[in-house]
Amino acid sequence: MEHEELERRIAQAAGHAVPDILDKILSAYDEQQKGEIIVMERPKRKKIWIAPLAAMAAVLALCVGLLGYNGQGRSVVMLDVNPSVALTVNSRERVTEARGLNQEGIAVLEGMDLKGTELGVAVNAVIGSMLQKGYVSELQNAVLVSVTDKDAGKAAQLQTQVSEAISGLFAGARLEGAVLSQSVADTEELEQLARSLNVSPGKAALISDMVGQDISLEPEALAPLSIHEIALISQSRHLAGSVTQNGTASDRAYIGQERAKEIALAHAGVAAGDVMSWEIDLDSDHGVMVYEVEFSTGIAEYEYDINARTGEIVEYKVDRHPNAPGTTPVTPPAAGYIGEDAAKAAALAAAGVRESETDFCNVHMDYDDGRPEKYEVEFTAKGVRYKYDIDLTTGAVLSQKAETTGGGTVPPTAPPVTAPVDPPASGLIGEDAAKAAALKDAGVQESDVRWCTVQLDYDDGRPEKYEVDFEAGGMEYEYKIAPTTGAVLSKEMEQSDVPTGNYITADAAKEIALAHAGLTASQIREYEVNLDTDDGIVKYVIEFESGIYDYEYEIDAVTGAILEYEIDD
Amino acid sequence: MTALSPDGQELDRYITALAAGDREALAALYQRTSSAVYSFALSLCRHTQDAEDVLQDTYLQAALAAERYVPQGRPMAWLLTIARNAALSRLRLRQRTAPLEEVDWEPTVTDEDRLVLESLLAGLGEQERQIVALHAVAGLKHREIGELLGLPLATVLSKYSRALKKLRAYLREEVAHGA
Repeated sequence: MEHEELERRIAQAAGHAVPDILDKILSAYDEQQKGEIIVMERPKRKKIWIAPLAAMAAVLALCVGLLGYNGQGRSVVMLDVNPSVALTVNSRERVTEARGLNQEGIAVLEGMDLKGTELGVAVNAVIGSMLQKGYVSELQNAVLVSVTDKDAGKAAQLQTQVSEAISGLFAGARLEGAVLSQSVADTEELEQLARSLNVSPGKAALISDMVGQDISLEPEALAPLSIHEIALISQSRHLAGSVTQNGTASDRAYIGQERAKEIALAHAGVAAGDVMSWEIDLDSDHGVMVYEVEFSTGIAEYEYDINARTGEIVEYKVDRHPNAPGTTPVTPPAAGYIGEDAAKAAALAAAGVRESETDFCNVHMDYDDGRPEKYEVEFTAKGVRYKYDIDLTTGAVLSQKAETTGGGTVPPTAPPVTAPVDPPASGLIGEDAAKAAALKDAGVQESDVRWCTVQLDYDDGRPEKYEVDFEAGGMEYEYKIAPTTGAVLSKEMEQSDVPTGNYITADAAKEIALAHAGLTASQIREYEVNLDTDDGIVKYVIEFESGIYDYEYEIDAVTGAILEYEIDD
Repeated sequence: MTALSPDGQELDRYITALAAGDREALAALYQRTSSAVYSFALSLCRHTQDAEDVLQDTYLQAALAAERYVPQGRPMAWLLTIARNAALSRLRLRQRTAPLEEVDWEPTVTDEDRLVLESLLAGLGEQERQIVALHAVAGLKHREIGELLGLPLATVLSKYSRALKKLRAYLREEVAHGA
């Protein structure tokens, strides 16, 4: 079957599968046009929600009513906790529209009809509902107020009034919380950022404000967090920016920086007195709040991610200083580099590609341990993606990689430049000893290892290190072992995303792949194994080379069935 | 920027009319784009009921956002971004994708269609499914898919060709087993 025929069949099947819900959408649209709060697919409750903090409401309404707000047009007040709600008010501070900006926000507004109510009453009702539904609590207590109004002065006034009112509500409910507030301009860029992060424009403005101050933060990592969590991250990094904060977000649900430090030190076996420098920040790792603990001693640099609630070590990394245990300071050579343009030219020449033929080309200097290590040049041309590592001072090709992007053919002339020409046979400790050294350092028994890959890595034709990767006890480890002494050069560990289960061994998977390929263990090289999960299927991914061919197998880790294989020359 | 395709211009007009509150424009937009939105939603949710909910959410969100839409000949990418966000909110609400067995197809789906749809859902990885839906059904260019999903062009290209290869193999096997 040709590509086009298959695409046609897919499009046809999709056309037949789409349910006809146009009428349903049109009637929901009519409701939406009336300016009512839409609660999708949930019957509206008749009951009107009554604010538990009704007394406060009166005070609040008075506050907001005093604004003397003569505006033509309208302002929008967004309230973000994790639920996001937008209140549009007219010149008389009456709500003309209340909208949930995410599913939680829709749930908060469920059963409420705020249209026509005063802004103060509406804010009270919304915060009250968040309290009642548990979105605001003792341990989760930060609110972001974002105001848009064409008149900046008015926006600022409204911002102060609403945030003070919410601080008052918190005090009334005996909550110690933080109210963050900002005035935001309603720009297309902000809308776009909000859409791409799937958050309210107010939250998008906060995130962009923080990322602008601390480039180690990533917008995508902050987006799924609650305002409380974001406020804690901001506090731990002492960010100020254009957001006003009243009160402090409570970190009582977390173990605290001191405890995180202790856990990291105990794990590293380092005494507090040996630490030369510290850095501890809160951050989020895949939506989990972690303390990032970084410290260095005379011997190595350590990086730990510690789950902020449980104290569990989520990930760690240790890099020995290259000259340890000596004391020679590392000074980066200031000059003598060939420069990015020359590095690019060297890579293009090696690939036999003219610059005009490239679709895109990217050159950057790669660092290792803070020192410039090499130039990395990446480009695509004629359907092939190339990656070159270029020596900083000589312009020599250190390594090269080429792969097809679907249309092209990888040219046959791509010999690995770094292939060991004459590997010294003696002096190496061997793969078994390297593995044993890594397991010993990790405190892992051989029998607990689910899979393990050992590879000798060369640099400039000389053995540089053994790379030992393995998984045990739900953790994945990556060790680099010195090839002649067996010393641990660096190690990393992170939680495995493969669920525990009853899997065939990595050796059994290897045998299945070898039998399929018609090869014996002695005929293959560059063997690698990994346990991976994709759509809930746990599989071994096995790669090796034999003769001129590259083999890749995916083997079901439960049944041993070959899910996929690929043989390329 | 490439020239507007006639389709793009037509959809741009519907969205502009929708911004002005034209109900008929919503119907026309739905009729022209619902199979693309639905198949993309299905590729994200793997669950027909969820995909149907996302379909509704998408057009209602689009009606709200239409006034901020800037016509630049890429209405499908705009609509599918809304669909993607709608699907992600649904999935977040559910915490994860639903199990695959609850498939309940429309009566208009033929046996051949079912075979194709089920190979898409069962035979491909998540990104592969999305890329196939976006290219084969929604007609997005690989570059636009890359932008929408935040993937390099090369990745989209290689995943797409790999996905079609997988699909072909899967279909062949299904037919051989007399499914």
